Amino acid sequence: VLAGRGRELLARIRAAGQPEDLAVSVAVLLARPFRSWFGRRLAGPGEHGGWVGGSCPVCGHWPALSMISEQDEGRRWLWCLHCGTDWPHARLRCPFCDEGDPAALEHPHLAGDDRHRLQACRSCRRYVKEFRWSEGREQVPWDAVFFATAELDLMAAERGFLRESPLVSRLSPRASNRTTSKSEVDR
Amino acid sequence: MNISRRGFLGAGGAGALGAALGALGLPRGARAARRKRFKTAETRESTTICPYCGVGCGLIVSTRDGELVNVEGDPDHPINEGALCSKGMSLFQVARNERRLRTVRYRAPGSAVWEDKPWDWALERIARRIKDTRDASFVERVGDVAVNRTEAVACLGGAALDNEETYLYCKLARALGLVYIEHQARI
Repeated sequence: VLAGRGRELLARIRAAGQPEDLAVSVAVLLARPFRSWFGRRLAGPGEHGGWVGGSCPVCGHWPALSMISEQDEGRRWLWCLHCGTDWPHARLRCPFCDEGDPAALEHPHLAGDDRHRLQACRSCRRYVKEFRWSEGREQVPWDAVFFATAELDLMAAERGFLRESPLVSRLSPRASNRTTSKSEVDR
Repeated sequence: MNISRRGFLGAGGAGALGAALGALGLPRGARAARRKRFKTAETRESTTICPYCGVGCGLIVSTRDGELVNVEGDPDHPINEGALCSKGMSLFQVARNERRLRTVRYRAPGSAVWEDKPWDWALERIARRIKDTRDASFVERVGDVAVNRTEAVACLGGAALDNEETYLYCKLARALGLVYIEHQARI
């Protein structure tokens, strides 16, 4: 029904004086059950065939959250806001630009709570919210964590880091996602 | 009907993209009103190798303001995949431990009391004892063969020494004429 009418819809929302942010959020969340079902059918809950990339193996969007599983020897799982898929990724590596130098990664957190923090990359200036989780991977309340940590997003903005838009998926090769590429500097 | 992600993005156009940057956080007005300085702390993470045995497990070491706050197994390290033995797991206590000795403790022969001694005194004394023992037990020849050795001093290396330290240690032992050169980690 709404195919090709997104622009019109947004115009109407704007005309009604509603914030666009909210509309986009609602759209993403509305689509979640379908994408989630599709993702499970496609990939299942496993490790996605050894996929180690920074973007979602099912729908290609950037991760919205990063979870450090204390039950699983500190392994890190990234989570996709769009389809609810989680996939493993290296701990000290930026999911966006593949920066693997620990010195280029910051982990700021609010005073008094070091279980929720950012992993912010100095090379590409992007960040992902990260938290430690001591129970099983099936019990993670991803959405609750995502919305409850909004303060971390504000803190990131204060520190000059950019949030990758949740709507953009990675279509270009990895190296081009860097603002300053290490390998380019070496060359 | 057919809504692709690209179509959805295109439908919104640049306005939607701009909005999406702030999407899923707080609406813009609210964000401006709530802006404040956060009391934050920053944890730095770096990777290193466990100093104990020859297995060489990977560690992730967290520091805050130059102070060690956490040591954990590196889940991305191919050798230990995040796991640590009981010694490795208690590494934190090596760095931060109120029971750690901070001066040289010396108990003289026949004495029942421990005394605090400065490092200079201890090194001087150790050197003196090694030299005296070596000189007293030095063998230059066995029959017609020149051997230039001492059998009264043994050398025991430990796995906490790295490659270069062990090289120097071994070189010192050979220079002194030691033949009993052993190592704790025989792997």
